[in-house]
Amino acid sequence: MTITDQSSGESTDWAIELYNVTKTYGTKYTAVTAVDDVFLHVERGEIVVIMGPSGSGKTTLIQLIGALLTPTSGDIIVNGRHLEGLSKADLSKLRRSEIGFIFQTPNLLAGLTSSQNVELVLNLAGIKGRAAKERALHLLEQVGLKERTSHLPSQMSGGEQQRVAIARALANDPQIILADEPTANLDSKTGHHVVELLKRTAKNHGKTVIIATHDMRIRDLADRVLWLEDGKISVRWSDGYMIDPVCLMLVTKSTILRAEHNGKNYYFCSRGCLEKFKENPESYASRGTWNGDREGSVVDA
Amino acid sequence: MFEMVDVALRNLAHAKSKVIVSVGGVVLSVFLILTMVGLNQAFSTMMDDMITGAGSDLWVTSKGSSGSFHSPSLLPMSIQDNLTQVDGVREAVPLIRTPLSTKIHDEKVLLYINGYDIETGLGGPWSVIAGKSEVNDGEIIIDKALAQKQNLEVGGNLTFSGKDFQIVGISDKTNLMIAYMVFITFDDAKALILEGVTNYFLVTIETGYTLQQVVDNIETALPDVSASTSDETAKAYKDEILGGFVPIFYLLSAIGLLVGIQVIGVLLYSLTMDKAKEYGILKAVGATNLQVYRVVLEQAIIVSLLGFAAGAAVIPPLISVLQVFVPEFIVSITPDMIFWVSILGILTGVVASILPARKIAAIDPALVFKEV
Ligand SMILES: Nc1ncnc2c1ncn2[C@@H]1O[C@H](COP(=O)(O)OP(=O)(O)O)[C@@H](O)[C@H]1O
Ligand SMILES: [Mg+2]
Repeated sequence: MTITDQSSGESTDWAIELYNVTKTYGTKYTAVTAVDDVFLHVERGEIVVIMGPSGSGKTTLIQLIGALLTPTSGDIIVNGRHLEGLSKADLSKLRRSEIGFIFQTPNLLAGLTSSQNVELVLNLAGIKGRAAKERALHLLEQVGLKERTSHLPSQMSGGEQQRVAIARALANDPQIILADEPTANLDSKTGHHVVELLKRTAKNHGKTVIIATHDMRIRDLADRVLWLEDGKISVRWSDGYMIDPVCLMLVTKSTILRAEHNGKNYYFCSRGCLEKFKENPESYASRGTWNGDREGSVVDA
Repeated sequence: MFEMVDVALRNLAHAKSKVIVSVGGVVLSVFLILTMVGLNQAFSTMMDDMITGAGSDLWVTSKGSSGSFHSPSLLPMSIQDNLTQVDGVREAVPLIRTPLSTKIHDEKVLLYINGYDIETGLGGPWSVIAGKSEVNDGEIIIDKALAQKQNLEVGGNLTFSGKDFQIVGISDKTNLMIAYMVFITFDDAKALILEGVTNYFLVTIETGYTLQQVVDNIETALPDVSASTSDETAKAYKDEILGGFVPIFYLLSAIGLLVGIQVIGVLLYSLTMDKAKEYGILKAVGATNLQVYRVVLEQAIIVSLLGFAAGAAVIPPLISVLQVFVPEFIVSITPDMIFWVSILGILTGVVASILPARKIAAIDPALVFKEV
């Protein structure tokens, strides 16, 4: 990655800059520091995957970058603009034209067809009528939903809905895509399609992409993987984390859900995965127990 | 607006039963408003008819009396000759108008007796819908609502003050709600009030004189009487009698309007709560508060217009049906009332949409990141 000298004022090379960003929820006794003094630069066109256990602050970080939360302290710059100085209306404009959001759940409007869901965000940005309709259909075709354009969300599978959400995120051709656990609610096969789609989208369109996930398949498309723990981005993978061989999610080594097979330890995210493993250990064991020390897994912040 | 995906309409389509119940509520509110405004209108028309229907140019009353129920007028018959001789007066005929409480079929009924001059016909019925339009001694023309209510017909009899009257005609637009107008000859009516007096003189003027000239001439010649044009008399009537009711009409109309606003407001509030997550999504993907508020405003206007339109369509026929059973229920609804009611409908929607506006502003877009 190219590091641009801050003092030169060439900050436009960065899509996203975070300086000492802290977010604390609540006050006094209820205070929770979800993001703790984070310093982060993301290059234009870079794909960054943020991993970390549940509650580590991934969602909060995405919300901060997406101008949906105000930091307790610190500075956030998106596409060269300080969020702090922007009005509410400007923040809305930034969200609809420069950022595409993909959430854990598709979050489509239940009363609208997939095409209308995409059209709506175009409408919000001032593209209306036929132009919006045509662009929506084109986007849905790109995500493989040509045959589903007039279906309501309730008439589509979770994976299809998530693909509509991806089409919606791309609608206004934003420079930045922010995705929070986009595959967490999908079964592994559907999740795979979505991962492929995200990969294609990111690479083909040269978008800056930040994905929070503990889906290891997504990790593979990253230019850079960040490890978030207790709201801090850590320099290395922690040895304390393992992969659940059944669902391929990251789990902590301290979990009580552990099984031994051929003298090796395996760790699981849930009792369900553990049971599955026990039914047929051979088929899962080969998936490895990667513990983060693999080459290339060392990341810098 | 129409080039956009219509979120408002689709949200409403998704909540049909709520919308139907609310539209029903709005219809009730429109019913209240239209009834009140219609009653006011009907009263006002009735007062106009009572005066202008008599057919004279001027009304002469005792000084200081408007001639209404509240301040009856009494004039000696002896001034009839003096009146006729006033410059510009063509005819001056007496009219007795007096309330009379009687019993018909054992039910207490208040009649408003008109004893009029049958030679000129001044003060006689102005809208006869059955039978003859004038009476002779011993005959009576009665109000339509009275006829309906008491099952009276042309050819039947009506007895009061110890005298039998034969019903010869039915008159419309003479239902005073608190009393029914009936018409008899002046001579028959004389027996009902003091000897040698009348309540009014009805005056027609000669051509070549203005109303005001003749009014002045009469008041100069006869200092103890007042003369005023039919229009002025009608206005004085309305001010005196309706004056007390109008604030009540307005109050009840305003309550009706508030009920409508409340009903739509509650609907919008509940729809907004149902859809809070979706509004959060809209905000997250870049909709401004104003853009989201517009969705709610559109919903409000759609529902209130639906309600007011249904009200305007259903209520006039409903009132006609009600009038068959309750003839005193005189409500007159005019096309311009319907117009104003639809304007009110839009305003109601706008006002009602203010109720959930704060809720919308408070919806946190960050909630879309929460798991289901
Ligand atoms: N709205 C909130 N109010 C209070 N605490 C919150 C809120 N959102 C998140 N948190 C807390 O902040 C921490 C980080 O949460 P989150 O960003 O959701 O982590 P992750 O997405 O990695 O699971 C957690 O301890 C969580 O309980
Ligand atoms: Mg999260």
